Amino acid sequence: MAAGLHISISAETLLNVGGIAITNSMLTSLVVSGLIIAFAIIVRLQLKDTNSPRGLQNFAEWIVESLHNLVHSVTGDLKKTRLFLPFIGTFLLWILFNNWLGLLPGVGTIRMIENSTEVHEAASAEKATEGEMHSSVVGQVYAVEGEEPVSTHEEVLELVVDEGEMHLEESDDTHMDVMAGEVHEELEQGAEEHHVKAVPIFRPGTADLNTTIALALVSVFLTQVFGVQALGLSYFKKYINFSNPIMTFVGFLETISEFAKVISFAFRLFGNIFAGEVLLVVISSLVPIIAPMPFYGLELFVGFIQALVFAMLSLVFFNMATQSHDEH
Amino acid sequence: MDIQLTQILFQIINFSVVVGALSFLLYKPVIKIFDERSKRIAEGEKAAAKAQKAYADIEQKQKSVEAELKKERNKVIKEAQAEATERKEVIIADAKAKAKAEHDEMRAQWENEKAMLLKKAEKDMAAAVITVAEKVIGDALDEKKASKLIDTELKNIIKAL
Repeated sequence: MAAGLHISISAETLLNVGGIAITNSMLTSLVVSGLIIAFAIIVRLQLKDTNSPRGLQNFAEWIVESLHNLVHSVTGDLKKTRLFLPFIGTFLLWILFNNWLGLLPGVGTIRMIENSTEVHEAASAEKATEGEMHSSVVGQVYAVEGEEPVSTHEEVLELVVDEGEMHLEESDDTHMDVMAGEVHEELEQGAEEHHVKAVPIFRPGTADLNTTIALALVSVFLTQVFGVQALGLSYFKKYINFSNPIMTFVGFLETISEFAKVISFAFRLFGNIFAGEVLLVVISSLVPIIAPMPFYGLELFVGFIQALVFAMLSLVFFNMATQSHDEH
Repeated sequence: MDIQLTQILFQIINFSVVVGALSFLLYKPVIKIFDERSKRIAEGEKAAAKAQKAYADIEQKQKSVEAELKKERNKVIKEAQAEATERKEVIIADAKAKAKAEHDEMRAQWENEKAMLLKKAEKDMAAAVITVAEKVIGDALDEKKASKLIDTELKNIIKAL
């Protein structure tokens, strides 16, 4: 049962495009972006200036109005609300759908067989350090096949068995018979475990630290932009203030807090969503029927809460940045 | 945990594209619709308030006109009543006077007729009594007897009447 578990803390590479490794979380977030943009395009094409909207327009208006009211409840200023709404709304929707997409059947379970040379080499090197027989044999195989790397499970097994037989022919020792048999078994298992790697095609975008760092950086960067836009260069007095030693120290703390924000934003979201994914994988592998259902409900809730927390914190930081220090 | 700058940049661009697309395709057009709808509602409310004010003014005017009309009507009714009462009294007085005059005239006429009839009846009766008495008594009555008899008979007749 445990053999079915696939838990990886970092996103896995699916393919390389122009030197950029496309990971499964990048693919998922691209799908989410595509779906959100497609929805927006459909809504835009159906928009009518009517007093009684229906269907999709009604739904879209409900979303935008709810987001507008949410932002306005914090800012209390229509100008600021209109300025922050696109970012806060997109944070909420994008993170929410990235979180929820991970709960769909197929995400994390539909896998692609990865057959790159690097993986085999990395796996064999890893096993070699552990001193396992099959790994050393695989290492020999690669040494032999150095010019033309093996790429599939079957090929690896065939070559290793050939290699085993070669060793057996060289030696008459009966011990080698047993050893060759063990090697074959271990190789078969080892090849399955390390060389033929099944990578999930989809992984929730927010279950990848790179995504959450990107979002955190955008949030903190926008905070500075809105701060400067509202207060001019005096905004930086918050960080650099030599009027008295206390203010200098406070400025230093504020600077540190900006970096802390990135870390807290990124790790909070990543930690919650990744932990949820692991929880679901473990529960589903232990009791595949019925038992995971409450956890799916919980993850739906956690996904929404985390998106809301990220968006609300960003909103509060944006709003605070636009208020002068005297207002604080 | 594998932190890759290219992946971070990719996600920043990805997110920025979504922000731009949603801003252009969803938030701005929908908010524009909200604004226009709010404007229309505000205009409608303003027009409704204006109409309500006009209605209230008209109602006020109507009430004042009604009050004035009521006042006028009461005045007219009062005047009419006074005039009617006056006329009634005049008519009644006239009628009473006329009736009295007619009554007096009739009475006078009746009195005259009665007197005339009585006189005639007296004469006729006297003649008849004398005739009857002469026939019964077979004797001619003298003037003194005749007059006594007539008075007696007349008193009887008047009594009978």
